[in-house]
Amino acid sequence: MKTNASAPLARLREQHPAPRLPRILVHCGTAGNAMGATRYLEELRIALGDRSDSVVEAASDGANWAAPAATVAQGTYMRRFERLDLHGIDDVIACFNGDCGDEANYAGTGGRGLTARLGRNDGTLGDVLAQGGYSALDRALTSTPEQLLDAIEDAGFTGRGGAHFPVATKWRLAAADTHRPRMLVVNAEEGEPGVFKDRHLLEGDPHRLIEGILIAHYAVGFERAYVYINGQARTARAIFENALADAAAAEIFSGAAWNQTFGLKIHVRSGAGGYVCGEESVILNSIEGERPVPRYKPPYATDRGLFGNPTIINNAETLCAITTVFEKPPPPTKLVSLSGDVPRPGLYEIPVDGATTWTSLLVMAGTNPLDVQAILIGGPSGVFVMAEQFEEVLEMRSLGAGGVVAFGSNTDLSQITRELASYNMRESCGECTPCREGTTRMVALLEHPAEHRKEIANLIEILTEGSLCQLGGMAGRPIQSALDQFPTAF
Amino acid sequence: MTNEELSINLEAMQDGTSGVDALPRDKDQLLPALLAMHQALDWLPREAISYVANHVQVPLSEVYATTTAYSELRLEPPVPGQWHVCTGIACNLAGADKLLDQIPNTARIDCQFLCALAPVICDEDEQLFGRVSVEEFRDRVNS
Ligand SMILES: Cc1cc2nc3c(=O)[nH]c(=O)nc-3n(C[C@H](O)[C@H](O)[C@H](O)COP(=O)(O)O)c2cc1C
Ligand code: SF4
Ligand code: FES
Repeated sequence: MKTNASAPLARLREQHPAPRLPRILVHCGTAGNAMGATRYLEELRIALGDRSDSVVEAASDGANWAAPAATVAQGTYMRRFERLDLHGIDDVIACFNGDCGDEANYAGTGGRGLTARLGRNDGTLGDVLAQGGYSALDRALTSTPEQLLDAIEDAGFTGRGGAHFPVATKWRLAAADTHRPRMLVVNAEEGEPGVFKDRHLLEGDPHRLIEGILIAHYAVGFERAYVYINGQARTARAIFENALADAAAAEIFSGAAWNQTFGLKIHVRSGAGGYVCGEESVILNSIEGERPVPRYKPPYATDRGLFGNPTIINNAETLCAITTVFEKPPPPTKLVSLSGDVPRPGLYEIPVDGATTWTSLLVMAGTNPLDVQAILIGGPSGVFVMAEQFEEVLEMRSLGAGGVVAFGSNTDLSQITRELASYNMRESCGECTPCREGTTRMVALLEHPAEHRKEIANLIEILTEGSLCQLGGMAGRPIQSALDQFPTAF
Repeated sequence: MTNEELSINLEAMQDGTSGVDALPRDKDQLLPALLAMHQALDWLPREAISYVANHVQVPLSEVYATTTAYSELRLEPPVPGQWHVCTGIACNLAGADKLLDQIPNTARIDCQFLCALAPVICDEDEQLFGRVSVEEFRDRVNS
């Protein structure tokens, strides 16, 4: 990915040299720290003595099942050492000293896609630039905004926040409105239970999001960008703000590094919880200081969004994914947050290429698919996919935001269905009646579903059609799916 | 409340008000101001909410409506020594109930977004711990 760098990018790389190898990346971040990774950071530093500079703190690479873990980077070779709590650090040190064993154990799939640098950099700009950072922006700047929009359209990018709206279509709507200041809102609220991809992206490769924001800015021309980060994701926010400061200091953010003036102002905001707070119009209200409830649509945000201005709202993963637009062929991948009854739960970047099935995902996660009776896709707004359907080919749309929970044979799926209904009831913001009353009623009906089949069907229809936002609008989905797939379980 | 606790609160309140004072006096600073207070005090007493309302020039009733709508903003002080156990789907599958049953002074909390490390617990300072067994939980609470 280092080829064809423009003179400005080459200069940036000169000013910010790549780190020395070999080195040991200890996977800390929220996930690693929850498994005590910092302890191994210390142990390795002490063990390496005067070479302790070679032990660096990196974020999680998504392989949560392997935490606490460390990766040794020797030239282009990388080897990840898993479960240091079980295996200790001796093999890590041996590998650092040149004896890595011959087991093929590379960290992740390597090199491509939007997780290519995840957990494999120490957060310094030099490291990120050496691994291809800002080369997509560099390339974008050699085309016109219109050509860039065409490339994004041709690659078929859709939003990764759940609804999969075509990115180029949305961007064009705002790009056309040149008379008013345009706003970009980056949705990193990530409040859907079971989804943890945006936190990983922000912690593990914040410069990719900055690059995506700048590419969007070049295509559309924003006055301001707001990055709205989940209130609990404090580590993600701190890491992102540090990266932003580095990108500003290196004159990347201003555009001066390319002899350009981007003129984009950026604000970072924290949320304060609630599933509905990830809905785009709720975020607009939240940023404006209004009550965090959904807005009536129309008007759409692209017409009257933040402070009445044309506004683009994109998920954080969407903007990160855009940085892969020039990789050939553009890899249609989706981040999947996989949890539940599998040996290797974690974050997966899976190809949505017409060949990947649910079975492939489960096998990647170390499971015999026969041990899984069903998976839930999309959490409280999602659907169940039963074992018989695991051979179905994955489509972008069917993945939603990418939250997948696997259920082993002992799980009572009717109980899960009730939990989802009760979650939607608690999270209903109460702004509209169908959802406020309907989600409560649904919980009551699900106590004795067999006696209330008709009323449940009716209620699902009311929720779907009458709700103001898609929290209520999709609250019936898992129930309908349960009734279709395992009616006898109730 | 002892004098000592009261003085800690006053100090925290001062941190909160200086955090709020550093923000522009505009309506769009409502949530940042509430969060500044919340970070300093761990919850939002009435005085803190009034202070924010006055600073961002939004009617108190509206500030209350906003405050109560965010699930992470507490209107009561946290229970001392209380740990939280995630009872999201993945953590339930991994035995969250057993943790709640066997460790005293624990409360439920929704998904903490570390589902791949279930079951997940959270201490008073919101530090998360993953793949926790009853024994490990007990040790942590007692240490
Ligand atoms: C209840 C609810 C919660 C949502 N939560 C999120 C979220 O946490 N993150 C997100 O990006 N989109 C979320 N969305 C979708 C957003 O409204 C919006 O469609 C998305 O941010 C657009 O970005 P994209 O086109 O890049 O996907 C949610 C929608 C609903 C109805
Ligand atoms: S559908 Fe539910 S969450 Fe959405 S506005 Fe209505 S009450 Fe609020
Ligand atoms: S279910 Fe416990 S962290 Fe998500």
